[in-house]
Amino acid sequence: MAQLVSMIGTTHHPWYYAKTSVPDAELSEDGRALQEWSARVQDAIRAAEPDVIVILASDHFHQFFHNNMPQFIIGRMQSYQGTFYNEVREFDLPRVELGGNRALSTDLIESGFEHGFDFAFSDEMRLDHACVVPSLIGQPDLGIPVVPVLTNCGAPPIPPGRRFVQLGEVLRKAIEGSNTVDRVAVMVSGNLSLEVGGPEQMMPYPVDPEFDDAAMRWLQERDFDRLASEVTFERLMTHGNTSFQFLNLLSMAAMQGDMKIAYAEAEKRRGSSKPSFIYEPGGQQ
Amino acid sequence: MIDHYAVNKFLYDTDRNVGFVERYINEPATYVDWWLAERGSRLLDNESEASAVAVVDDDTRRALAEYDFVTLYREGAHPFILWTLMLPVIEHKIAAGEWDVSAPSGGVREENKKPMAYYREHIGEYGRPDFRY
Repeated sequence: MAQLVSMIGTTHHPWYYAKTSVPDAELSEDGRALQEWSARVQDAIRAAEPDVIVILASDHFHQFFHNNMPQFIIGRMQSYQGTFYNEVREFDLPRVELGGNRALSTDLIESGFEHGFDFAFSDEMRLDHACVVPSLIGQPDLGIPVVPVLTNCGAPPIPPGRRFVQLGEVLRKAIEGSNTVDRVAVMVSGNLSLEVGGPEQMMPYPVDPEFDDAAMRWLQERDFDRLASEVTFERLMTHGNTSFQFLNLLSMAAMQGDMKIAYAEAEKRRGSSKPSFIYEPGGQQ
Repeated sequence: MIDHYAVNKFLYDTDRNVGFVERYINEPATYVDWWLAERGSRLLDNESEASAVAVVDDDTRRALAEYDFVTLYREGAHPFILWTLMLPVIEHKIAAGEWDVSAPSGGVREENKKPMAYYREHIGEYGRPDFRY
């Protein structure tokens, strides 16, 4: 049976690569903070020695659209190509290739049936920055295979918060029920208050720092009643029109089980606060 | 009222295809007519079958052809894909000197200073329209 050896909650800031791939002397404050976060995550993943990293993230209208929108979909490939031309165009993201683990993907899908989750699946999935950036942050040599689990956080109707909590619980059971691999790390790709293409996009302050602080607290306390009531479409819209990927962090908190939180910060940065979580095995606090 | 699905399909399909953005920038009216006839009329990701949601009204066609992102935004086009397509359009218009951008009022990120300021300046008064439809 597989063991959950590390869990990371991280930003997928699309300019991560552009900001961190400059000579040291030209690093911005943001670029330096992102580099420090990357070093911290790399240490955690190196120490955990995972066979596979399950990435929980959301497609940004690169592969899925309103004509055929899966709420929860698992990639089922032996390798994945990453990023799309318009992300190269806008963010200078590198085109990447990541290994996969088709057997583990199938295990997660089949376990979902047993636990009330009928996952969609894709044998031809391409990953956008929501998976590529966390991978560059956590394993820049991209040597560890991944299993992408993509959620709909962009195209309403979006599943309610309770469903994301259940997703986390089911994924944990599914991972721990698999005999395909021994050691699994999870990276959860999400954000706090965030606006893209709205009146407060790219302002010099986070959209809603008060929500960000409270949300970080609710996640750490696993206050799922509060979280569920705070993450309706209407409520999240008041914190920015792209705040919905916060929902992925509910799944993260629900996957905690007996792990302990080794690191939890929301660094205040321009435009948004960067949720940064590292969970380790070792008994609940 | 715009046809939300058709508008979002236009934004999505245009932004994801190499060359389409360039055509939309260079010949917007011609491109929009072509897209509606050749792409909007077909089932997405299926070149052979017709779409049941192919027809858009004149106002929607005009808004797309004139880059009237304010109307599209106000009426609930998806804000994410509207912005991601309008960004290269606005960048081009600013670089070509066709759209005037006054100096933004401080503190805006360098990498998107002018286009974002321009966009915000125009859509700001409409807040966050509900983009469910």
